[in-house]
Amino acid sequence: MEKVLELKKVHKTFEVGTPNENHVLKGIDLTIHQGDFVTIIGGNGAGKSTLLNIIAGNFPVDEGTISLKGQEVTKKKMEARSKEIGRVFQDPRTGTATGLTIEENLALALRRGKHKRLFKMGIRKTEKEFFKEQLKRLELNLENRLKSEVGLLSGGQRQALTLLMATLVTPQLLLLDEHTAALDPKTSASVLALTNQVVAESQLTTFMITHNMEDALKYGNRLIMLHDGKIVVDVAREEKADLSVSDLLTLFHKNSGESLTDDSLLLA
Amino acid sequence: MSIILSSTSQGLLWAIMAIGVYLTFRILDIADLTAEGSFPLGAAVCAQLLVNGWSPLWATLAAMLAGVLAGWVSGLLHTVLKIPALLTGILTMTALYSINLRIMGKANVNIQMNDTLITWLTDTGLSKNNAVLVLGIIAVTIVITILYLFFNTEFGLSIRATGNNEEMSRANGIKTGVMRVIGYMLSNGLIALSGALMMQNNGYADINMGIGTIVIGLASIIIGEVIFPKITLGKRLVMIVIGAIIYRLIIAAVLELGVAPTDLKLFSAIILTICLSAPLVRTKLLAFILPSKERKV
Repeated sequence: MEKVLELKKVHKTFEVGTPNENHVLKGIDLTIHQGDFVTIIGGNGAGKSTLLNIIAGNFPVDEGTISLKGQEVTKKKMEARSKEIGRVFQDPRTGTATGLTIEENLALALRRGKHKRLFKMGIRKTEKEFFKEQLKRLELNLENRLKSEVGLLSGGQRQALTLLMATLVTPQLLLLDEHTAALDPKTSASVLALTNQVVAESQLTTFMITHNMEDALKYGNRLIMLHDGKIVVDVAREEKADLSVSDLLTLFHKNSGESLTDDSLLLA
Repeated sequence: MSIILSSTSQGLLWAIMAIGVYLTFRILDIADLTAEGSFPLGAAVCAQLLVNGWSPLWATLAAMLAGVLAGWVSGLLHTVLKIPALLTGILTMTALYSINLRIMGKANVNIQMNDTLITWLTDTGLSKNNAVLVLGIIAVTIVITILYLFFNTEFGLSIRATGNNEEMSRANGIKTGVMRVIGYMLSNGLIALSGALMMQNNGYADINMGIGTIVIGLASIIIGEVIFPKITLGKRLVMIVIGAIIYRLIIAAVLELGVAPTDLKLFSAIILTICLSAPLVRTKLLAFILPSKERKV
């Protein structure tokens, strides 16, 4: 199976040399293959978001290497990695340009990682039909609001739109950073269902952070648990499918030598 | 009547500067004070070239190019050296004071004996006021048309996204630093163009003519926004022009009321303060007038 992402001995420390020095990632080795739908859980400060951010290229790593599709990208910036990576953020305001219209946002997403040309119209007529078709899949009635400013949409609508934008050009890797955490339970469930559908349809290689153990078990075909900057649980396929929350807690205890209550994770 | 006409024609020339300020202030979400230096820069370059026998058209375009360069410097200071935008503007503006003096060689350059874009028009039989009006309309139309088209290209869309949401832009592969620098360049090019046109209208370039530029620019933008808070980009650019004209009318009215020209900057600042506080005042007034049930927030 083809390797999509490969991390080797990745370390990241914040605020080096200050009293607040924080060694967040402590030698992460991780390989994600084509078609993996990985869910990541871990308590507060375990390093989930940092891990996702170094994959996306938000900030550089201190040690170790990152490869995307066999090419080393350790030193490449976020803009340069964007062609391969689609992202949905925790904050619904982050993933879209709220002052631009729905069609303008989609037009930018359609050109993700491509050179932006001066003498090409930002939105072409033929693209509008494509945008409408794509928006219909969200079942949010957004296909009739191409010219609405994204700032007028609700958090759930924006996350659905961001998900569509992130996958409009099929990414090699889809990064989801607790993308339903800021939504109410009902909206959260529908955005998650949509995510699952989109990932399944296009067989996307996906990396999803969640704070919810049930969701982590329910979705995806591989589960990783981070603790104190290290991977302590990594289960896939049938082994993951048979897992329950209590199995997971036992596994965590066995691998990390610490006990953990269901609550401390859920509340993190 | 003549006050309305002259305020309109002056407003049109100032509007180009205000549109320039809008590019950084609203589209890129950067408070750039370079305007205070690039406006007189445009005037200085244009005046000196006219005195040296250049054609008014080329002198005006060269002035615009000088503004583009000033914007490039500010843009690099901000994006490469990571200097905060406010300080960047102050740095460039301060440096430009000396540069403008160098260009002019003295504090004031008179071009009343030279051909200008305005004398070209008066030569066709137009009065001075009408000539400025025609020049203003032509210049504003060209600027708005080009900007409207530009901001609907892939490239222009990327600049707008950069100012709106940097993280989203980078996640979509937009080189936000480059976009900012280009925004700075465009903005200051327009501001210098406005300075060159205003200088031709006044008949001279003066080292101090940039003082208060940013206040006039912001006032024009905000007046337009107070009248129509939510409109699309094309209409917004037109509203800035209307805002600039209204601002000139207010200034003309203030002068009519007997305010000394030396107190004008004080009144400019007061007018801008009133405009800036207008949205808050409107909300409070509505809350006061309407019972709480009917209130729309």
